Amino acid sequence: MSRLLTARWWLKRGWMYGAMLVFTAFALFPVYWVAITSLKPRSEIYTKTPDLWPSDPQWSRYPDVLGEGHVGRALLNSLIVAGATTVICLVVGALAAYALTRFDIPLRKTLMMLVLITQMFPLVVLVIPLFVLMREADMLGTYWGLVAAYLAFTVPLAIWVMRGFLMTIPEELEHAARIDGATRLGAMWRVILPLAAPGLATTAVLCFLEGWKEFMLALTFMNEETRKTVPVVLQSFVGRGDTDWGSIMATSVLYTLPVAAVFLVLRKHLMRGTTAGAVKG
Amino acid sequence: MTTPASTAVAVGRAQRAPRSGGLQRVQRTVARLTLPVLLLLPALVIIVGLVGYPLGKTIWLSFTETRLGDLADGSGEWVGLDNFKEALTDAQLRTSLINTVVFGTLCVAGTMVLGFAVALLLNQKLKGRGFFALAMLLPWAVPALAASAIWKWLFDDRYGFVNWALVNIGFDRFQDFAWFADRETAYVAIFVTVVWQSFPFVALSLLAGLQTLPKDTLDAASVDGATAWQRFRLVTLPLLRPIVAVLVVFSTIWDFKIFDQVYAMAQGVPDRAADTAAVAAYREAFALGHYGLGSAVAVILFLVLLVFSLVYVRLIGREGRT
Amino acid sequence: MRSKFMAASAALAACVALAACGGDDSDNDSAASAASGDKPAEQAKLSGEASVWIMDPGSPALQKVFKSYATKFQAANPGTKVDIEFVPWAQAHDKFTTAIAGGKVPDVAEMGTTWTPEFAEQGAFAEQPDIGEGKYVSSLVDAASYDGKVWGKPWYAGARGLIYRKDVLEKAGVEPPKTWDDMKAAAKAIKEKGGGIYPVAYTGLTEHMYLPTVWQAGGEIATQDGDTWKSALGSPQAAEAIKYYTDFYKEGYVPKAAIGWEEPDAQEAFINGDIAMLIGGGWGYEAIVDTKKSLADKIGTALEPAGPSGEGTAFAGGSHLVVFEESDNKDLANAFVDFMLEPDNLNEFTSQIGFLPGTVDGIQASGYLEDPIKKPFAEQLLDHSKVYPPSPRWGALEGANIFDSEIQKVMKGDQSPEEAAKNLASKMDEEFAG
Repeated sequence: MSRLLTARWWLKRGWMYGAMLVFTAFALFPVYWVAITSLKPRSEIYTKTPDLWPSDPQWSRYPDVLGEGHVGRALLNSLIVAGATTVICLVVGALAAYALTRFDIPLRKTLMMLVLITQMFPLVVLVIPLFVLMREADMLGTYWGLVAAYLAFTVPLAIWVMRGFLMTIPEELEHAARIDGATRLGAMWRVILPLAAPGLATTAVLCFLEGWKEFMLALTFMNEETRKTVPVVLQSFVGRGDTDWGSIMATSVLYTLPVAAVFLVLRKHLMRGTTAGAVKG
Repeated sequence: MTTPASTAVAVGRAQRAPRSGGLQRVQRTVARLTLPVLLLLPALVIIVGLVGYPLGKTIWLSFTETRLGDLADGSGEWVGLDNFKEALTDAQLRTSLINTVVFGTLCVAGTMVLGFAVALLLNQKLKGRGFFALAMLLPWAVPALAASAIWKWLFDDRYGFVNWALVNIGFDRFQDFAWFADRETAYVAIFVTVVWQSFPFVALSLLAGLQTLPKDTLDAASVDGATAWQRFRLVTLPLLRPIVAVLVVFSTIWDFKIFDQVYAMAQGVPDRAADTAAVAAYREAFALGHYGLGSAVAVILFLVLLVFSLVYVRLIGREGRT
Repeated sequence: MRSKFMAASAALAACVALAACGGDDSDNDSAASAASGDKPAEQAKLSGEASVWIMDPGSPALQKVFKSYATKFQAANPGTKVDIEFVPWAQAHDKFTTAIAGGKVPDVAEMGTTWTPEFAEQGAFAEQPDIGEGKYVSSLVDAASYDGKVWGKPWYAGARGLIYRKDVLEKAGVEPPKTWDDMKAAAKAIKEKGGGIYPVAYTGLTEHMYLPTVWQAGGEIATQDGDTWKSALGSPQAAEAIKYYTDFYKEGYVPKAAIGWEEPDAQEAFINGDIAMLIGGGWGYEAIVDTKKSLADKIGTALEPAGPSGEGTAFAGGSHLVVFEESDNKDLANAFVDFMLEPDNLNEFTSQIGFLPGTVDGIQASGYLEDPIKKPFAEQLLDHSKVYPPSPRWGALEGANIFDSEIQKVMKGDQSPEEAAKNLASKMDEEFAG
């Protein structure tokens, strides 16, 4: 009897837990490897049989990279740049996505494609012209220069992703609100926004990570040590003849923590449970 | 409902029907378009203002022979389609374009399948869901330098965990197996790395999409006695189509443009046989100083992506509207 | 070409001038005296600001050394400001390219020796007329030459020698190899009696490992005729060198995966006790003993084994210090370069990274020639090294790495050394032609 129950439970729910474990292992094992490598003494980083735990954890790497290694300052810079990119991108992108979803604009499809074209060129060939543009605007080496460049690449992304979400929200809900006397913007604010919260939160995470991870433009635009972002500072541990992998991994751990924090803040919206869709018109 | 204004319009229309009708249409169109254009304007200003010049410049360069010295003042020599001819006939460049399409497509497929599986699991009421979701998100946040390095280590021939594990479960041929010495095996390792870094976004977006779906429709299907698979295929998937279209389009763009992982991990493959188009464009432009040819490779990649995107949007997007 | 570059950057130079030249402009007349070779620091009062790009040394401790240069220099020259900015090695070439093409360059920069002619051709650097005879390591002056003029001052340099495990060689009953034949015999003995350790790591990547064997065989890499360079790799000597190098792989003296290894991979394998002999520089030695202290007593160093030419020539690589043509404060830029090249300042840095100073005074002050373990590296650089052809196209050849795949194909048995030599020659000539 109880065995039957177990078998049935396994068929219905248990395999899901099994799959979850497998996926988690795939996702987390390399992250775990980053974390333990950050603690390993230099001589243990490359070993014949993988060491799953460092013999003598080098906790001092963390204060070292934060202070001497300028990672503390770089984290702040990255937060400023990625944060500003996210906020502006969300506002600008949401307005445009709404316009492109709910209004019958001439050439809408062409516009959508044009916006997308900006994504289709490899960044490497755009670096030099962008550099010239920033030089002309006297924005090299400034936070705003970097944020502006990131916006050029994240806004199209945000428009497309948010439009995808808006299209899954039935337009009737909005009509209902407007019949009830709300203005168009009012309806957008009160009805659509809460419904689109998961999409907005996803887009926010996406924009944040684009700004957080970008390397090539940050490398090209920022020279001063006090303006460098984390991906650029990471490269400073790669020397001419020697690479300090321990510090790179310690920095990587510090670098993923704010992202985890962003996720926890937005968690309510990212995963608000399967019942949330039940808003009736 | 007859206001003075509308009366005046009616009178006017009676007197000068054609012209005033046109004017009115224009007025109406303007009124109708004012709000959406205002909403669109900031985005267009940012995009066109910042990317317009670099894109135009790249396209122009692709028709010229431009060296580093010419780049500063734009004095490259116009050579018509020569760069495109070379990009399509040079063995290495052609290989890189084919690699891009084949390997990129495989990465998109892998990312979408894993992303869907994870999103569907996360949408279930399981214990530990929050932790699971956070765990799925972390690979996305690991910096590219560290991610490439870690996976390169995990796939290292002598000191790597993958070979160690494979040998320990009985596959002796993986003793000292050199993953990065051949294109195909190098691609296996790069594929895993790319999927590992890109599935979190797909999973998260699909999860958000699943949660935006109207519950009544799903409930109705459930009451109708459809099986889980039928519900997914007939109800969930069509409703998610707009998001799936966006994800496929973006995954394709990203995976076709793939640079970091290939640059870091495919260097040891003989004859540059595993280079993708973005890496080839970089090598031609920055390393060899052939900015014209490098730009041409980029433009070809762009055209490929444009075709793929148009087809995807047609195929997936249109059905989403009906 | 040069004037084009200058014209494009003129607008920018104006705005930098506004920002940088806040000080007294009356001293700027001394530019002429600086260019003619006198010490500007003693003659004229320096003022203004200079930005200096240094390749990231890979550790915060070394970053501090550079910053202390700036502090000391500013203290000695009140009214000046020197900004040290670090550029990651791996992306440095791209960053210079972008800065030059985009018209915003620093005043002073560290330049990889093989890049100096490339950017000099674009008119990016100011000439260094006061280079003098016998003051700098001469091969590095050659590397900084383009069009009959010198465009950078040698800063530091190194050449690879042979690093070996004394204990393993003893076990196999062989002496440290002095010639190619010795090397082959030693590899054979280590393979048989070394206890499972691979004899040597001749890698498929990193051209500095195999290109010098062409010199050792008595060949050349390229020859100059007026303004044009022509590859010399089509020679029988080059084929012989490629055969020698790749035979180790084919004989199983080299780990199978080494076909895809770069130099650091070989170094890691040596650190892990998988490799008995390594072609490596002083910097490699430093990294090895720093990572695994227990290896320090077991390691010996020697010159590279001599080939048929009778020489074990190695590649002399390192960095120049350059002043940019677009700098609006060349007095200050040159003065700071000379300050960094003073023997004490120089050695404070080079001693920590296993490179040698690029000045003769600096080498004498370094103490390398008295240290038995470091002496081979110093000798290798001073007496048994050459530089790659200082062609403006060399940076491109190196950056695009046209060499590796031909060597890898020989290792895999897909082509003969002669075919590889012929292919390399035609690839090189194609790039020399532009």
